[in-house]
Amino acid sequence: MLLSAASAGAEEGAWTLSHLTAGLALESPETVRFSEERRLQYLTEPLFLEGTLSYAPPGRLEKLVLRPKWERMIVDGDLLTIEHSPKKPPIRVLLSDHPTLAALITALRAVLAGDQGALEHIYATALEGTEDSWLLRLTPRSRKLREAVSEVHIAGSASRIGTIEIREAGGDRSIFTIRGKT
Amino acid sequence: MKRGSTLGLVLSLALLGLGAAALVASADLRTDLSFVFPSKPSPDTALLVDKLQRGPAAGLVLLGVSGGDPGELIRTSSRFAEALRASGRFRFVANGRIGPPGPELAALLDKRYLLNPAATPADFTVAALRAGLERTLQSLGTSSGMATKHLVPADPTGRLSEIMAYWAGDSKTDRPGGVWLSGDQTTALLMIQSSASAFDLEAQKSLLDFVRDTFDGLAGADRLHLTLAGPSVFAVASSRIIVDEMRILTLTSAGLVVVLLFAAFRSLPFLLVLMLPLGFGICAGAAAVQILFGEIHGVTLAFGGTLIGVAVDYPIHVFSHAADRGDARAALERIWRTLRLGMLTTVAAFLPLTLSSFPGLSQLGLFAIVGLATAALFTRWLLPVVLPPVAARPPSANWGRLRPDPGRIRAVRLALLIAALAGATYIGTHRDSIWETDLRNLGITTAEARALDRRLRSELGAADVRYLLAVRGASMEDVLRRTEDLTVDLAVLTAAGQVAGFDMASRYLPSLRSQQERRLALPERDRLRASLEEAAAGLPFRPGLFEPFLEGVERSRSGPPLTLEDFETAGLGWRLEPLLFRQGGSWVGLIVPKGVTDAGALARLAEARKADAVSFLDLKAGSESLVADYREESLVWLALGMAVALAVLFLGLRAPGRVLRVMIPVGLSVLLTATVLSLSGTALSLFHLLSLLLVGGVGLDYALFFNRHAAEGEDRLRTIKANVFCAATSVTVFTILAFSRIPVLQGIGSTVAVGTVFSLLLAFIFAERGGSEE
Repeated sequence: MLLSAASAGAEEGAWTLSHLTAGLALESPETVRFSEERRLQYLTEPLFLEGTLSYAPPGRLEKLVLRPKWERMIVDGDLLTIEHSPKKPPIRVLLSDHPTLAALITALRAVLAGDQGALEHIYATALEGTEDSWLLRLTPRSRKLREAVSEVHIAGSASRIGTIEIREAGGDRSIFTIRGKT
Repeated sequence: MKRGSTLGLVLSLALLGLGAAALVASADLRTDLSFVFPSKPSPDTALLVDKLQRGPAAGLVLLGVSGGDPGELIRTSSRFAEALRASGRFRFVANGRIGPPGPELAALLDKRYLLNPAATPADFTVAALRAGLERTLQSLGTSSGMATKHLVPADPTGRLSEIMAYWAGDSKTDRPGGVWLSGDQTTALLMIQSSASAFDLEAQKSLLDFVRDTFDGLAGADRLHLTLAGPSVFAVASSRIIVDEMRILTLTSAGLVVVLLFAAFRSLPFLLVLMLPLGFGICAGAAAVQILFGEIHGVTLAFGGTLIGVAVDYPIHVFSHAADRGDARAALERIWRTLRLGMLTTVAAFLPLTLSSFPGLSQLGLFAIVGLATAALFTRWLLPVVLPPVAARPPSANWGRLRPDPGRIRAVRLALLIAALAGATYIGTHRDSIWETDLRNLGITTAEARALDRRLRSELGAADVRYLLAVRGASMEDVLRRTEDLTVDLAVLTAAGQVAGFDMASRYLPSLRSQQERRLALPERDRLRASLEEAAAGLPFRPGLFEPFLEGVERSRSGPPLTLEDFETAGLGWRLEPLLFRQGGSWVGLIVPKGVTDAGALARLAEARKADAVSFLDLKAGSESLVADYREESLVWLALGMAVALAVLFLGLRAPGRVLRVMIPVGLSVLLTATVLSLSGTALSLFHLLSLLLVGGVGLDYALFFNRHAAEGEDRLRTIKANVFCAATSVTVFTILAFSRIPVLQGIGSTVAVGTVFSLLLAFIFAERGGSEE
């Protein structure tokens, strides 16, 4: 099944990573609702989070968690700002001080900006499926990073991302489901 | 003769160079405030001195990065901290970066139930455990909770963050707020502590250079500005400023003096020998201090050099009087008595100073005595050898026109007397308000440097403290117990609003006694397991997850106690160091109150607990009384010096009338100078007093020369010319000094410049001749 899809793509010469990233690339700001399922080794049940994800080209990402607990995380360039409450002053750190987070954010940003080069710089990529139902597997190239994050799976249909799954080396998983524009 | 003098000159210059080089190589130059500290202080004074000198956070260097937008600052701060940490040259580098606690915290984590806030049996009830677990579960649903999730199995109740919050109090440096920025977001703040001793100036200097170089090497740092503050920064900067200023001031004033004196005397060899007596004087004075004291303070060198600056006048007098009537030898024959009397009188004035209980003062006294005597002896015996036979033109007859108008001289003298009396009255009635009381203004750090330090400190929540409670004990445990015993009293003060809070060593490191009490409060493993299982019922935690927690509590219960070394290992030694330390054979714990509104309450508490070796320190009042002690003692020595000087003068002149004629202009000049300084709003410090002594010495020379028996006809013109150029030289040099950034030098400069003008004018107006003509 996989093989046939791949060969079909090869025959038509149309469905490749460059097409995918070109299709996904956003040129104007966009905000979507998301839900996140955290499956943690420590817990017998998953945790569910809800909120919005915003992207503004070229490099601003915002994750606003509304439930169960308000929290906002903003990445702009290499600056990471975390707010635990709208009243308290934010925590600001440099993204490069947190390599794991930096790698995940780079992946997301590269996909949203259509920057295939940046993506392949950090990850080995493997694209599966068809244009209507694709799965992009990202495996960190550096061993150090693999000790934290083993794989990132991004799945979707045509130029729409459906889910993002982060698999940590310790077995914890976070699955983001994109619910559509606000 | 000609060859001999050239050889002598070359030899002298070479010798002077050698002497200076040997001095620079061997002298132990001190640049701290020790200059104004007594040599045998009481334990409380010693503590005060130490805190004043090094501040509450000894060895800390505060860094500020400014000049960019917040993003740029945070970026640079992070890279900067990273580079500094990577060098391994610092005990710690803090910039507010958050992250999971590293392995260095393991020792503390293991013993966390022995730390503050005190753990009680109530913390291990099912209800308390349940609340802790629910909090932890909630934090797993946040981003920052995910960053520290690996701590969950060992610390499911969030004990560690409770401890961190307790320690943080209201200090910004401990608040998990990300990279530290100043309140107005214009400055990124970092804090470093080096592994080098705070007293090793060379090591500190190389470290600070390393910090600056590291900063300059950062990408984008060229647009940003780095500022440093802290005791070691001051020490290094002071020594650097002293060297820089000395070079600039010396070059400028030397240049001007050379131009001035060449215009007056038109002799190059004279200019070459001009500095020789002073140069040898400084070398001899410094060598004497180094030998007798084993070290020399920067202030002694800087101030002593200027204090004996009157030695430049010696060759000017000799040269002025040499002229066509013979060579320097003949001139010296004529003026040596006057010169010697001036020198001896000044030396006599400095003599009592050497007995001072403040090493700085005795250093200065010794320096001045040895320096002046050397300069005078050099002038008498070696100057004629090195000075080529001179034939300076006779002074122009115009000098003779400088003659007080006989008709008005009485009125002028009377007016000056009245002015000086008024000045004395003013000083007398304002004697409590004219003095400098801030000890730090006596140091050699610049005002800007201290302002910068204050700003960085307050941004980091490490504001300057004024009040302290000191608790002494035979051992560390002793001190920790005593401070803990004060906890209730302190809480009463806090509750009454007299004090906002306290910081002390036992906040971080509980005494072994308290640790033992806490151990007893910890449940044994099986009981804790049962409570925990009950608390976790219905919560989605994996069974068996908290095994590390059970083991950790057990280790706290039965393992080794928490020690100072655990804090060192965890990189938190810097926090305890200023609060708990050895002094002599005993231990001292400091209790640092914050937000004091009623200092009297603290003083009363210390008084009531005096039996427990608790004492109250007021750094401001303490330093003011130190300064006052210093001043009072100096005044006594100076008064004594005056008396001795008068006696010497009397012996030299042998006639009360002559002594009076010499002393009246000198006394009036000193009074008028002091009045002018006070009226201009200058707070008088010890350095002004010593400068007045110099003014007196300079004025004495002028008066003595004006009052010489032989000073008639052309000799009188020569005397006038010599005195005018001596004064012009002094005024030039000290006016330039008045522009120094170092408060001490600036004070000396303005005092002596003003004083020299008064001295010359008054010596002239009150000279014998003016009076006898009436």
